[in-house]
Amino acid sequence: MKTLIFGLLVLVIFSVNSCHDKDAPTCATCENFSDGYVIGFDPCSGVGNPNGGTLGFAIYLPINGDTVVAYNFPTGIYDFPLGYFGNYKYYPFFPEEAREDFPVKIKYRYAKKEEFSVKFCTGDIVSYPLFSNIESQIILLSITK
Amino acid sequence: MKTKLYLLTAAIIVAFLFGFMFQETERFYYGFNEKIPLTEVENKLVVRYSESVNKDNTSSALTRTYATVHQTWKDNRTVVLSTGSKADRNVLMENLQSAPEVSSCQPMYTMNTGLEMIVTDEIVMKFKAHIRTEQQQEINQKFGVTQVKDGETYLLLRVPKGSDALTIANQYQESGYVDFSHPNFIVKFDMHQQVIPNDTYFGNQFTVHNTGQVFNDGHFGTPDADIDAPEAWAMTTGVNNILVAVLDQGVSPNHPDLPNARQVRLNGSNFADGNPNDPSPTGNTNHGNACAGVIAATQNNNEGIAGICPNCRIMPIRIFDSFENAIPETRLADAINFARNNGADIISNSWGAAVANPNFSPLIVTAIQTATTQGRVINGVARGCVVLFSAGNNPTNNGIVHFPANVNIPGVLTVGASDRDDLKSFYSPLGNPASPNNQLLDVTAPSHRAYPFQVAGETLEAWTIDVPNNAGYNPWPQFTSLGNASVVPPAIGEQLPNVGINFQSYTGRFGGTSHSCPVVAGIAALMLSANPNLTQQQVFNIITNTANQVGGYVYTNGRSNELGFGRANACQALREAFRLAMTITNNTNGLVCSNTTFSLQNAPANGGLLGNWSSGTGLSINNSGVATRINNYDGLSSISRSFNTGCGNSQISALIWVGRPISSISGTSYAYPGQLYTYSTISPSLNGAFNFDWNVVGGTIYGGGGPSDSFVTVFWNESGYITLTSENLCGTSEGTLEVTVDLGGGGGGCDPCQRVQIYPNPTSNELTITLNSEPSKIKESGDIVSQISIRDNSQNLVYSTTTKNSSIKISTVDFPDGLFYLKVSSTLGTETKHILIKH
Repeated sequence: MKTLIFGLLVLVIFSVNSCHDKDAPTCATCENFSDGYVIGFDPCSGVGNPNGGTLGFAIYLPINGDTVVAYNFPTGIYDFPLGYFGNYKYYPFFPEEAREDFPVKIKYRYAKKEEFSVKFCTGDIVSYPLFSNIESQIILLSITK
Repeated sequence: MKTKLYLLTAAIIVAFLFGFMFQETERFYYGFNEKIPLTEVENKLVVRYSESVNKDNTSSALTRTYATVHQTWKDNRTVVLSTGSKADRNVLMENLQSAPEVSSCQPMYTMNTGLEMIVTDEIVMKFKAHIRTEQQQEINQKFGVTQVKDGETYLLLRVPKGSDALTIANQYQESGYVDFSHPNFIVKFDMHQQVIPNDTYFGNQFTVHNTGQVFNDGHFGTPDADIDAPEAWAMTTGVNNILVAVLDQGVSPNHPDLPNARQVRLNGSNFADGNPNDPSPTGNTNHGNACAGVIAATQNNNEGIAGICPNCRIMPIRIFDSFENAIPETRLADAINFARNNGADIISNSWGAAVANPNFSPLIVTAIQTATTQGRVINGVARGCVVLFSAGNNPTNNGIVHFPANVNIPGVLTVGASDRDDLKSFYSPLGNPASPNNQLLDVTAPSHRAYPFQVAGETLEAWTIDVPNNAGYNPWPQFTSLGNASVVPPAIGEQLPNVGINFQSYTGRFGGTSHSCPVVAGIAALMLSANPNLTQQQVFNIITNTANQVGGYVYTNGRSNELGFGRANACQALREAFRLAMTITNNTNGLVCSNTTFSLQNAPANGGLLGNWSSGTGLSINNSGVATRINNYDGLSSISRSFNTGCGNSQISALIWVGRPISSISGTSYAYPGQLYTYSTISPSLNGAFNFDWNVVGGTIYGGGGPSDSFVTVFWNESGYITLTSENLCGTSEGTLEVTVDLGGGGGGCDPCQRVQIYPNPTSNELTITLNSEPSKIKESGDIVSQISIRDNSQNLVYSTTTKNSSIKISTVDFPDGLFYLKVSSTLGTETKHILIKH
């Protein structure tokens, strides 16, 4: 019995540790915590109403240098200036000088295969691979400024 | 010393002779002082009569004397005669030159472009200003010319009978007395076969007509780096029953350049938010308008732009919601099915996602597959919807082909973008043949060069329609400081256009592969307007085969990684669609007994594009298409009519049977008892025969041989013969084949002992003959030597050889169209076959 409990404990610790393992960043069952900055948006996910709740946002994570994309970004966290979306057809990122204007603390996990969302887009918009990469897509579990 | 002198003399003689020879062969005329080379056409001559003649009478007289010579009349004094060879031409020239009514008889010349330059008995020239009238008369007298006309800036002179106007014109020029002198050529200058519409912004549409004009932002491109749309429009601007579904953000109702009369706005065509029966765009979402306008905006209405197929109709199907969100995949599949089920001929899709996997969504793949295989049903046969996808726009120059553009479905067109100089647009995908993900472009069409972050000073620059009375894409929101709304838009983001009728209904800020896709969809719509029976695979093949391999890229097996099969060419594609649609017919299924009128079916309405009729052996045909049988000719001939467009000429041809059928019998003439042998005659589909009378002596008819049968199967008892009488509307003919039957018993087990097979038949460039000899016979006889001969319809030998091989290939490139007779003889028997050559 002791052996079993010990074994389970090792397994649990290993599992928790693995969530912080940089070699397995897309663990879909792991919860992650990170500080980050909202730096851009998926232009194919409802740019006509940027603060309307459907737009996917790109979040830069300084801790590992990754940029992730969340499509369940809640309304009300920030009221992004509409002008930031003006060049959406080819530039889905905020201005350089605004890259740290929208800090967030997020609890998240990576999207499961069945949750992976690709937005079809009109063919005059530049499609960045970031927004169609399953390894970049996250599900926000909580978010604060 | 003597030897040296001898050698020197010989060298001078040789040099003189060579110089003389070159002088003889090098022909040219003077364009002022520039020598412009002319090439002699070896089998043509130009006959110029002294006075106007009755063309019909003179033509008949020529035909009676020179039955095999083809005539092309240029005017009532000039006829071009075509002969079979240079030798024939020279004999004809000699004969005609001495005829009293003939003024001159010259070879036909061409420029290096192929343009025919007809020299007659006239020259045109202008004396230098200081040459006095008396001197002019003296010079003219020296050359023996007579003045026909003083045209103020030129004199028209006639040269003496039998002299060479080209030589005399050159001598005038070389005399130094004239400003210019050259033959009064008869040259057919083709009308520039293109239509330039009067739409306000047409001059900016470099994608359809690139003249190197300055359009947006000071940009200009390379002349002719376009799809040759004006040249295509000279053939057709489309027909109303061709329906192009545009799956997109919707299309404005009653747009000033796309009225509802040319939209099919169906209930249930809005698959996004709002009224399901209203496929209109919301807010500034203009992408659907932009695509639809490229395809079908009204042309020649003094407003807006010119669509590529301005008489075709658009079926707007809305698949993006008010906020530019695409609908879910199930609804996308529904939308594609909706287009197919509601009669869309073409489905234009300027949308996708940056996913490399071609099977990313089986749901969508299956809907596309179904559209291409079950869509566009004509007379109960599914021709398949023509489906096109924009290849996608990438941030890098070597980006991927997006889904669904990369689906592995035959005939689906993956459309990339080229720019104003026929180079790959920066954002357009770079094909990768090694990829497992079908990363291949099929074709490109012009669009903008690059996005601003890719190449400084570049942005969207293609012209189309916009949302009326709304900002839409006009002005295009673009900011010097990215994202800073307070900054005034720079020049390249200004309101464009800001002048003209309903200028807000138009924009000059469209682009991406989004623009290229409807360009090709418009080309496909023109093609189906010309030839609705084309399958979607044929449309694909024609568009890719006629694309221009531009850009200086490496094209391997016709395809480059940058532009696929090239930049699409509307004129070339449409010309080919018309060529396949057009047929030459008369009211007797192509048969000519005495004279009959032929017409060209499915030809473009612009009759100016149709050239002269011409005919083959045993026929003459006038410019009204009336064909006349010559000298009671019996046999296969042909009739052609040229189709001359702004992007080249095509020849529409038909094989025509003239006169009575020929009752030749093909089959073995050496048979064995106890075997069945099949004999056949020329197919009734060629010669119109409807009644056959077979008679077999020495054998028993086992099969066929009836009045409607063009074959007979015979069981031989003894040596004998077959006779055949065939009948068509022109009369009857008879044929006989004698058959030797080997009663020695050596032939058992083979039927016949040497089987001759030919393929392909009909053929154009090459014929393969296989001789499959019975192995036991080879064993008995050793090598079998076969004599092979081919004769034409008049029984002239055109080819012969002997061979021990079991297979030979014969080039038929130089064979004229027509019916030929193959005969193979060896110790194993003689067999004859009919060969049909059709280039």
